[in-house]
Amino acid sequence: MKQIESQLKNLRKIRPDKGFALMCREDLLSSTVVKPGIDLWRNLGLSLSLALTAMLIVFVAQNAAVSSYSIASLEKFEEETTLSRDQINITLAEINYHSDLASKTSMALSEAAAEGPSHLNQNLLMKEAESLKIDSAPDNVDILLDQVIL
Amino acid sequence: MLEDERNLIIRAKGGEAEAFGLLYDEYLPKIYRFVLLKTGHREEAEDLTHQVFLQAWRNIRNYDDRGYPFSSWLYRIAKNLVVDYYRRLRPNVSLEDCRVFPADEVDPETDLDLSRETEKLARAVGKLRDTEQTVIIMRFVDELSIKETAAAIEKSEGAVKLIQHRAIQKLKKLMTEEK
Repeated sequence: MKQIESQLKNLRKIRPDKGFALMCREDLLSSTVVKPGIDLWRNLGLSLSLALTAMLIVFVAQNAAVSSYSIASLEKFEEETTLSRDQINITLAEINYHSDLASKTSMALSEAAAEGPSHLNQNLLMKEAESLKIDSAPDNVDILLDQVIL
Repeated sequence: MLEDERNLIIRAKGGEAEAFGLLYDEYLPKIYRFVLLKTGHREEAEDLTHQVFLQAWRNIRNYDDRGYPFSSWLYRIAKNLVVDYYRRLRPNVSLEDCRVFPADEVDPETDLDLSRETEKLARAVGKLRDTEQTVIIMRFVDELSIKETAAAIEKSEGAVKLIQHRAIQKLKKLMTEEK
């Protein structure tokens, strides 16, 4: 056992060729090694992940904004429609009123033009009052009215 | 882990090439030995060793010293590259069966001064199962602790002790057969 171990220790004399050792060293140390912080593939992967995440967030946010905007727009549109309808109704009522007023005014003006101020004639008024015969009401009118009321 | 080594690792993680160069100087012989003894081929060992340190330099920011020592991290890279090497070499043959240390690949120019007994031992190591070879090289050639070895091969410390014991018994038997 000890003899084998000591013989194995002799193998430590094996050494690489000095020329090879120097050439290998120079080649190694001149080779480019990616320094910390500029690992292209890792950075690229990270950048892609961040970009995708950002795009996803923007997409979701846009959809949410569009949805809320759409709902708000619908509500606003409905309100505006209701207001417009009311305004139209009011306007139509005003038009009817003015139209009615215009026709009545027109009738009154035509009547006045045709008859003149005859309705203000004292004689005419007296005649009309006489024709009504207010004082000649029947005697039992009070009794009849009491019956209707009671 | 030594405080100096910890500082070197921090500096290397920050992209300081010279700091990694010092770590390279410290671990190159061990990693090279490990790979050479696993492959038994000098040129392949050089190529694989170069790849080990290249991978380590490129991925040093992923190393976290809370789990296991830096040496174990390097050996783990080396072990995986050796496994890939054997897969590419003979895709249909099991790793356990194909690895034999070829003595004729040992180049005298690599400062090897192996006695005949040591050469025999190296061949015997090559006949062990892959995990047994790894444990023997790490423990007795590269002098890793049980803990470091366990971390490098991703097994428990108890398992490393067991593999080591079994491998030594096998080596004894193989050495006796060689005589």
